[in-house]
Amino acid sequence: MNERMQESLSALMDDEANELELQRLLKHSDAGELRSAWARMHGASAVVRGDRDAALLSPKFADLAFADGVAAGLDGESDVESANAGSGFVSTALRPLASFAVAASVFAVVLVVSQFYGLGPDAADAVGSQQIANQVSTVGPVNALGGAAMTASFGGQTVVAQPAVAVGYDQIARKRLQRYLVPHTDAASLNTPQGMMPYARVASFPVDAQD
Amino acid sequence: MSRLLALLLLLGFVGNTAAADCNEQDLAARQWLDKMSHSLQEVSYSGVFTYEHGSSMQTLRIRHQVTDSAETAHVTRLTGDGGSVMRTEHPLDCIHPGSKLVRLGLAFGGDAEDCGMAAHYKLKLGGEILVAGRTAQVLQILPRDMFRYGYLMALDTESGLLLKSQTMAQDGRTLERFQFADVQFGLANPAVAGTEVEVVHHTDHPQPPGPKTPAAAVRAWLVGWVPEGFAPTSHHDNAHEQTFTDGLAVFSVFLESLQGSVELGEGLARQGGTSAYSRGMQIEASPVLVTVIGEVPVNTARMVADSIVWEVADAD
Repeated sequence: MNERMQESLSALMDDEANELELQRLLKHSDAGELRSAWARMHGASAVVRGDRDAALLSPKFADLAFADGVAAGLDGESDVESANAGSGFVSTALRPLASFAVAASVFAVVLVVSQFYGLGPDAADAVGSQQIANQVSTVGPVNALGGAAMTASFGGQTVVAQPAVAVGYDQIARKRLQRYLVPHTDAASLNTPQGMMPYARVASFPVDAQD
Repeated sequence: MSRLLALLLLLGFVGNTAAADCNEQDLAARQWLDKMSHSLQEVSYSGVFTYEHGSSMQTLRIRHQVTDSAETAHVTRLTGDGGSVMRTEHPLDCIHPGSKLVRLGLAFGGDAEDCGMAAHYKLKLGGEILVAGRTAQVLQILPRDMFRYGYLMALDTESGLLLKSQTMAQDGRTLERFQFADVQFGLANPAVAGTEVEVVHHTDHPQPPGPKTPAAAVRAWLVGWVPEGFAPTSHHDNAHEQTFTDGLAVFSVFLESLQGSVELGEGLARQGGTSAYSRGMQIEASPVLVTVIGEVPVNTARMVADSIVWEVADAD
């Protein structure tokens, strides 16, 4: 992997990749070394945040939760190896865990998803509760739906997908989640010992979000 | 690069030692998982449970009935808009790949080195807690790599039934939590059936009904990479879907062929422990939309999407 690719990869992890970089990465994405490097960087960006949710809601579980990892005093990227070696979930906080989203704006995502599907609070969950927590107000005009649409065919149906800005693809992902959750659950419920968990996920999905 | 090399070496080393680990220290925990897996098909129960993710909490009722030859599950949402999910008459003699990975006898298959899912998760027994008024055994399940989530479960000590479960991200966040508030064992009372609002899911086995996409429209494709331990399920009813499981986590890959061109890009939607990752990409100049949906971290989904190739038709 050349230096340029490394930089692109790094930018992608930091949500700073521009479209060109993304395309260059995708073009090389079948290379095993990209995958390995990605894995390495992902490990490096893991964040220690403790288990606050569990602590609030379930003291007993929280006590147990990942007690292994808490003891580990990892320091920076050089410790990715040990983090990955299974000793725990914990490595040092290098940056917020924003390693995935290429989304341009949290506000735009929240607004658009809510408006587009007319969902209640469940829609907000879809983009992450933490993002919602950071949000003060959702008032304000957002025109994230602009631009030329592209047409995608899926079986007998034709769906119109939004252009390849990040927000557009987040909407596509949301749509696909609605469409594929049931077939996915169909397979999942037969292949996990977790009983009703897969059913609960489907049953809890907002009804008005169903196609 | 040297760091990368060290990582790879280390991962290889871990892979080798995992097999030795899993047989001894995890045996008791694995026996609990085995018990949990069997309880699914052997215990009739009904109850009310909560399902939380993010700031949302739903209350749901489940009726799970096991007869001589089949199991029926029915989950009804009691809050919000209602809605229900049903699986009818699933034959008990049908054992799926996921169960094979979890159950002891099947996982071993005569080969003592085969750890089943314990090769990819660290299992650890905790103490006993009270869930829905019943004594439950706590079981901690930590992934050995970063490609899957961790779980914290509480199993009914008597039946092995899963009474409480948390899905945990790598950073320790709780993604979703499910917990029984009340549970009764034995045959469910049919009288509660009146609360159904809308059946959104109804499955027969082995061939689920519902609209099928004409298979001819989809070119054959392969998922070139999945995390170690994931195996394809037997559930391939459909040319644009492939599903994989490691015994606990399950993800499905969907491929849609696009016409014309595609703007490259990616997007994510989440609900509790389930992520849907969509990527507009080109495979050998053919534009496609790939979606990976399942209970795995986003980077796993992304790497799976990376690896999709067209099947070479002329190989044989």
